[in-house]
Amino acid sequence: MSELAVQGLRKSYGGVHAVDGVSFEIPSGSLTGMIGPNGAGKSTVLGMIAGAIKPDHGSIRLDGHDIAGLRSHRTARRGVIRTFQAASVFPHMTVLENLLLGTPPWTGERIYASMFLRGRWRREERTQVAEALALLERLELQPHADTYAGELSGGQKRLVELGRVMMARPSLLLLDEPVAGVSRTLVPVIEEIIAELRRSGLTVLLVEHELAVVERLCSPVIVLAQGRVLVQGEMAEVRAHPEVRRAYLVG
Amino acid sequence: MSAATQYYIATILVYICVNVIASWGLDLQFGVTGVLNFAFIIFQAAGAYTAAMLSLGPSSASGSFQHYLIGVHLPFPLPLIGAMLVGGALSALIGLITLRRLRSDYQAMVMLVISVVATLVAESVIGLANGSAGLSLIPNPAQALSGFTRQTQTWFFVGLCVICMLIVGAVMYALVYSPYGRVLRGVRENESAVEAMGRNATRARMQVFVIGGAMAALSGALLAQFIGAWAPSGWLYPETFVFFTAVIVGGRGSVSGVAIGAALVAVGIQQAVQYMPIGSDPTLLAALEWIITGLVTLIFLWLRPQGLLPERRRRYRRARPARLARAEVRDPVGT
Repeated sequence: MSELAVQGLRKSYGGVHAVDGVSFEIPSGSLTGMIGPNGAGKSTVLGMIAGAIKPDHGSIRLDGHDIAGLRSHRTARRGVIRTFQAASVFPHMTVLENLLLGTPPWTGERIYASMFLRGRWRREERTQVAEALALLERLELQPHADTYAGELSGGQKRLVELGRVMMARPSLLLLDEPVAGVSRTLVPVIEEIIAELRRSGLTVLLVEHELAVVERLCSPVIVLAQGRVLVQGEMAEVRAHPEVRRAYLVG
Repeated sequence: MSAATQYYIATILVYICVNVIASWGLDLQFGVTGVLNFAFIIFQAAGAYTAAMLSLGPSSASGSFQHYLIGVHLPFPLPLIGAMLVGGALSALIGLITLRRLRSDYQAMVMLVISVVATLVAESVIGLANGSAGLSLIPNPAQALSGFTRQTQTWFFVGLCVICMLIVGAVMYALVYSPYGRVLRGVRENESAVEAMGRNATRARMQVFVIGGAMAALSGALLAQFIGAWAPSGWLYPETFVFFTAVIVGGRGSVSGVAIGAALVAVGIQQAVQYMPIGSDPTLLAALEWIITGLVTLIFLWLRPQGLLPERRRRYRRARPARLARAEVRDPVGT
């Protein structure tokens, strides 16, 4: 749906260049993978695209508009929706409510609506509830609809987070290590959901430490190392690259 | 019923209303949204002073025995409305300084400092609100009603407090049990996630800061009008923790729970202490009140952190099972 062009992105913390001049493009409708060893700057890049981290330098163009430096809620309103490295739910809210907070911000969430337009937001909320329940059924979480999200297992929290971002109908989805800390049985389930999102035409950037996941799902692939793009292209090309073998694949 | 008993009951009722209103303000900020407002009491004080300044008339009229700003005599309900506006405006100002750039634990520290500084300023700048002596002779709007006995006037004032409490309660229910309230709880539960879903957490915190501040101010205005006096010794920073205890005991985020918490803690403990067989030394009684309040907070945080009436688990109406069953028949494989 949306395409992203990142140009000359930089971020340093103190004297450390976490991201040191990164440029790449994410074609519309692709599921692009970003891999690299620990400390390569993957999460920082994702954070900068999502608006959680302010870049020192560089541009991030979403369908031609520079979104670099926008705060995260503004970036999200443009359809750039992210997940977090550690499954990030609203623990003392039910699973259903977690999904309801995924809808794009709507007028029912305004103060005056809560006071004076009760009938209107109730109607609209009913549609959202139906949509969320349908999604929960697909994620096989429907029995847990009224469970507090904090009481679920790590993998189920991942599913709740995925359900939440699906409610948002993103145009660009940023996934930060979506299978980290997930039990073996749930990994294929989550991978299938991601593959399905890609088939639906959504543009996805998947940041991952595990090469195998990226290999199964992504094309093209960007390899980061020490804050720079080492190589980008199809998995086969990337694998053949000598520096990648040295920096990442060996061992 | 004797006049003294009537007055006692009326006083208890006014105190309950005032404390429930204030505790709801803090519940909206801390219980629902997770803002640690350790300066809460100064917004109550701001409301009390504003109501006084807007109803006392010029200081020279009473022989200039007390000094204060503004000094006009506005009819009911303008002093109450003015108090809420000033409480909200002061909240907006302090919110702009503290809520935007600081992490929440630092926000809490800054609030505490602001509370202490506010007391010092009010005590030492005499022209502001008569320094540490405070303001007295604050008119009670019910006493402006002629043709009634003093007792009836007191009951009128009780009625006013109850009405104010009901209105604030209705506002609380509307805000908390709505999609807006869901966003507020989202801010409390996980700020970065709520931001990542396109909601502006800072704005939400600012809003509850202002609304809660206005509620605190209303409570202060009513209290000052009832007592007729207001001085810095009554709103030292520890007073804020009475409201925190009320919210914790009642149940963070629960509207009805916090009302019960406010009645039990802010009024109940104070009254219970009066009846303990330990004499009537005011210093001892005050100390005992603080000890009990502190212990109650600890006991609840250890044994029942969710409070007496915990925040309700939200359930949503869904399609009736019959319709679901039909859908299954139509689509047996569940594609």
